[in-house]
Amino acid sequence: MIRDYENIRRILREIYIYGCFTKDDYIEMGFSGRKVDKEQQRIGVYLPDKFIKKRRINKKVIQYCRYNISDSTNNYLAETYRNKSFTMLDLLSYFYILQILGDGVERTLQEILEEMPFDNADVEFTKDNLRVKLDELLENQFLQTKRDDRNVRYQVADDIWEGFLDEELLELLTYLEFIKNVSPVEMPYYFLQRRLKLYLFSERKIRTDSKSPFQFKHNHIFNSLDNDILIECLSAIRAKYSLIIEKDVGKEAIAALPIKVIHDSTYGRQYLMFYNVGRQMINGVRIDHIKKVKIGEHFTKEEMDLVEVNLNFDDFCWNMSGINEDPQDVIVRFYFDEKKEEFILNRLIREGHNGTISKLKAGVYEYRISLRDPKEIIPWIRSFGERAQVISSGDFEIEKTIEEDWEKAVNKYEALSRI
Amino acid sequence: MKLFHESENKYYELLSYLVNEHKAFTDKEIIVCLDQRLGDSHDYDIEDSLFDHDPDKATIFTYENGEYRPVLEGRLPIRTNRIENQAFRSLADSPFARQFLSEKVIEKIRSSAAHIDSEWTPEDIRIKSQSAAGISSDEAVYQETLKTIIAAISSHHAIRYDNVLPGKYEFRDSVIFPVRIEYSFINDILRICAYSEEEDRFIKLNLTSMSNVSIMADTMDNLEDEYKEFLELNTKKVVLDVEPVGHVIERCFRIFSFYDRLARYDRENKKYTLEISYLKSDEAEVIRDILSLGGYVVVTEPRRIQKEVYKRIVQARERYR
Repeated sequence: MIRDYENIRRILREIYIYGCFTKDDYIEMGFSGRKVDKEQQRIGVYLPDKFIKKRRINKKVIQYCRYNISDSTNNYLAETYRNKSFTMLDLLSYFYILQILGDGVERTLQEILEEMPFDNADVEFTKDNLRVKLDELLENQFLQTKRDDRNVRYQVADDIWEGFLDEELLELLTYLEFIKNVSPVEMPYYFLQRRLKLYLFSERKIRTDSKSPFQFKHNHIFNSLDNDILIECLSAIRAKYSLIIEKDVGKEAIAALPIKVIHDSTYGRQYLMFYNVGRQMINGVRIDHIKKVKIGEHFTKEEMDLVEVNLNFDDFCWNMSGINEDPQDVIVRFYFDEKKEEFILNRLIREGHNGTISKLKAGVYEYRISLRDPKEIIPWIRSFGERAQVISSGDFEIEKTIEEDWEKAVNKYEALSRI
Repeated sequence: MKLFHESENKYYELLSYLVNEHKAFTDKEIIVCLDQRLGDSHDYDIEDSLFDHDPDKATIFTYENGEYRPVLEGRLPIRTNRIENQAFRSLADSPFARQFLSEKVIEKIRSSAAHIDSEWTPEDIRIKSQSAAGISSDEAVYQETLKTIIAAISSHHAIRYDNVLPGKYEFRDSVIFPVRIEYSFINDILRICAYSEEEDRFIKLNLTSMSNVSIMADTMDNLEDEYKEFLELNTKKVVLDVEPVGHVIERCFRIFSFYDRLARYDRENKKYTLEISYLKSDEAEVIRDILSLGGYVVVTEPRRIQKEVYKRIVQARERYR
C-alpha cells in the first residue's frame, strides 16, 4: 500500500510517458537508487501485468507501459489511487459504524460504542478514538448528524441515488464510463463510477460487468497522476482562497491567488494560472511541477478584484506562454488545393483558436492571430508542412525560426545516406 | 478534501461486495473473489490480515467452522464520499450531459445534488487547442441515437441508419454492426467504429451525420474477435530518432503517448528512439505530428514514411527561399 502518493507520482509518470529509463538513468535524474528499486517493485504490484511490462536492454531492466486503443477505457494508472494505506482501526471503524447505522436508526456516540464488536484483539474502540473516526466519516460525508437537546445523533448520509430508477442508474453508469475518460480531472468520476457499480450490486441487485462501448484517442491518462494537486487548486479557485505553492525541493514557495486551470489538449499539459503575490504579476505553473499546495487565506476585497480583472488574461496565449508579453500579430499564408484538400481549411477553422481567415486568391488563404508568445504556435504551423508559410510575427520573427528549422530537418534527412 | 483516501482503497471495495453478498465464504471462495476483483494486483500481507483464521484477529469477517462469516450481520449502506459527491454534482453541468442523459435524468441529478455545495468544478478548467464546433458545443442532441448504438454494441446487433452530409454524400438504409464509439479529445468528435457487411470491412462514421438509427434483429457473435483481428492486421509502425532537447523530448513523448510505443534511451550518445504503433487510418495524423516536431525528430523506419516526410520538409523549406 502507498502512504504518500508523492512517493510514486514522478517515477510512474516517467515510466508511462517515456518507458525507456534504466535504474542508472533514474539515478542520473536525481532519484536515489534505493527508491527506484523500491517504487519500481511496488508499481509492478499495483498495476496489472498486461499494462506494466519489463524488458532488458544491454542487461539492464526497463519498466514501461503498454497502451491498447481497444482497451483504452481502462486507465490503469488510476488504479494506483486505490492503494492508499490504512490501519486496522480505519478499516474496522468504517465498516462497523456504517453497518451499525445501516438500519436507518440514529445513534449517539455512546450507543454506537456499545454496539461495536470487539473481535479483534489488536483494536480497542474507546470513546476518544471512535469520536475521531466518526468525525472523519462526517468530514468525508458518509455520515450526517442531528442534534437533539443534549446529544449529537449520527446517521448514514442521504442516498443520492435513491430517486433514480434502475435503468436511469445504468444510463448514468455509461455516461460515467465516458466522462471518467474525457474530463481533464478524471479520478473523481472514476471513483464515482466504481461506487455506483457497488451501489447497483448492493442496493439494486444488479451486476454490471459489460464491456465498455467506448474507445479513446488523444487522451492523456497520465494527468490522473496529478489529480490530487489539481483538485486542491480547483478547490482554492472556487472558494477564493490563496495558495502556497511548493515546487521542487530547494525552490522558494510561491504565494498565489489562483485564477484558473488551463488544459492543453495537444500535449496534455495542465497549468495553474495565478496572480503571483510576491512578484505582483500573472504567472503560470505546470500542475505536474507542483509538489505540494497549501490552502492559505480567503481573498481580501482587493485580491478578489485582482483576480477578476485578470480572469481572461490568457485570451491572447495560444496555451499559457508569454503571459506577461504584449500581443503580437502573426500572419500565416496557407496554400492548398481547395477541391482536393478542403480538410486544410477545415483544420484552420477548427484548430485556429478563432484567428481570422481570409481568402487571398484561389488556393491561398491568410490566417491572422494576435498572441503574447508567437513561439507557442510554431508546432501547429509546422504540422501543416509545405502548406503553411509565416509571413510575419512582430518582434518574435518566428518565420526565421521555422525557416532555420526546415533547413536543419532537410540536412538531417540528407545525412541519412539512403535518401 | 483528499483524493488519495483509504475509503477508495480496493480492499474496502472488495470487502463491501463481500459483506453485501450476505453469506458465508469458504477459503476457496475468498481466493476466487480476490482474483476476480483484484486480478494480478495483490497485496498478500493485507489479504492475510483481512482473512485470518485466528478468532482474536477477526476483521470484517470471522472464521468459524471452515467459513468466513461477517462479524456484523447488518448490510453495509453504500454512500458516496465528498469527492464523489462533487463529481456527481458536476455531472449535469458537463457539456456532454445532454448527449448521454435524458432530460429527466439531468433534472434528477440537479435535484438530488441540490444540497451539495460546489467545492470545485471542472468549469474552472479552460481547455485549449481543442477543435472548435465539436460535439461538446453542438446544439443538436444525439442522446437517442447514442442510446440505440450503445444497446446494439452491447448485444452485438446491427443497426440501420441514414448517413447524410449535404453536398458530400448520402447513404440511406445502410446497415452496420457497431463495435465501439470513439471519442477524440483533440477533435472533440464522436465516431462510430463498425463492421459493414456490404463492404466487408470495418469503417468509421461521424455520429453527427447519422440519423434514423434503429436496432435490427441481425447479430454478429464474433464481432469482438473480428475487430481485434482488424486492429492487429492494420497496425503499422514508425520509428523516430529524437534529439535530446528537453522540451522536444517531452512534447514528442507526450503527443504520441496514447499510441502503443516502445522507447529506447542511449545514455552514452544521448539519443532517444521511439517506435510507435498506429492504425493505418491514423497515418496522416502521425505524419502531421511528426512534422510538428520539426527538425528535432527524424523518421528512421519505414523508408516509405521517411521519404514522404523528407519530400514535404523540402517543399516547406522552399516556401521560405
